[in-house]
Amino acid sequence: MDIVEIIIGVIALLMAIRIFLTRSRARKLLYLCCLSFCISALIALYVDSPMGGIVAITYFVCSTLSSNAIAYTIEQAKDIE
Amino acid sequence: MEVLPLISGICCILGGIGVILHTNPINKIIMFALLEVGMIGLIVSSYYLDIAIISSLCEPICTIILLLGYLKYITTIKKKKKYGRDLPVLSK
Amino acid sequence: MEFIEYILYIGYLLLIIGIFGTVIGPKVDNPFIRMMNVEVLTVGVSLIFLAYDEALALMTFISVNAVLSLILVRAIILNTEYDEE
Repeated sequence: MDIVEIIIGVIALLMAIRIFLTRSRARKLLYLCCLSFCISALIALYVDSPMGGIVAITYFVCSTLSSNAIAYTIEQAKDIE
Repeated sequence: MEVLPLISGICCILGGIGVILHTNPINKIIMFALLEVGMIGLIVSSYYLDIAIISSLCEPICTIILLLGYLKYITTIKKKKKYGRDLPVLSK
Repeated sequence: MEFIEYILYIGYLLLIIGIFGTVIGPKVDNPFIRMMNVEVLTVGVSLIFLAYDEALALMTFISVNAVLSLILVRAIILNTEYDEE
């Protein structure tokens, strides 16, 4: 168990608890983006082969796309309501 | 136990409880993204890498479908509430 | 606890949470919220597929799930639009 994995794991655990407890919707989205970055780094550190790098790149791009879609919809829903 | 399965399991359980307990649909979609994060982490930690690629490609598609559906749903409810019973019925 | 048992117990826990949340959850008379609660059950089922090493079934289930949510959302919107109060 490496020191780098432990540091990223502590950050990810902190973010997972703060997503669950925060009431503000935009701030919750920010923590989700940070958590997906942490998971992407953990995937690249866990698998010791070039295929792990490909999985980490794919997951990084797709999770960023998903977070941006949610952020765009929050503004739209605020206008409608 | 390694770091990645531990974090993924905690994300799965917190996301599963959070989807049930929140009542606003956008909060539910954010918690559902947390649940998907946990599932992809557990798939990677048992070395099924091709399924992890397929799963991480299908996850934003599902999220975007739910978001567009929610926008269409609240637009339909607003339109129905505005024009609902005030229309004159011509056949009677 | 072994690693397979860890995945299996998380899947069972998500199934139990999803069943009780879908039937008697908070504000479940809104059909959109009830459809969102069903998504917890699919993640639980796919974790149990993962624990029993059913790789092809897991891949097919995840891919079909995206199409299934499209059909359910379309059905809910049409039902709301044509519903006569």
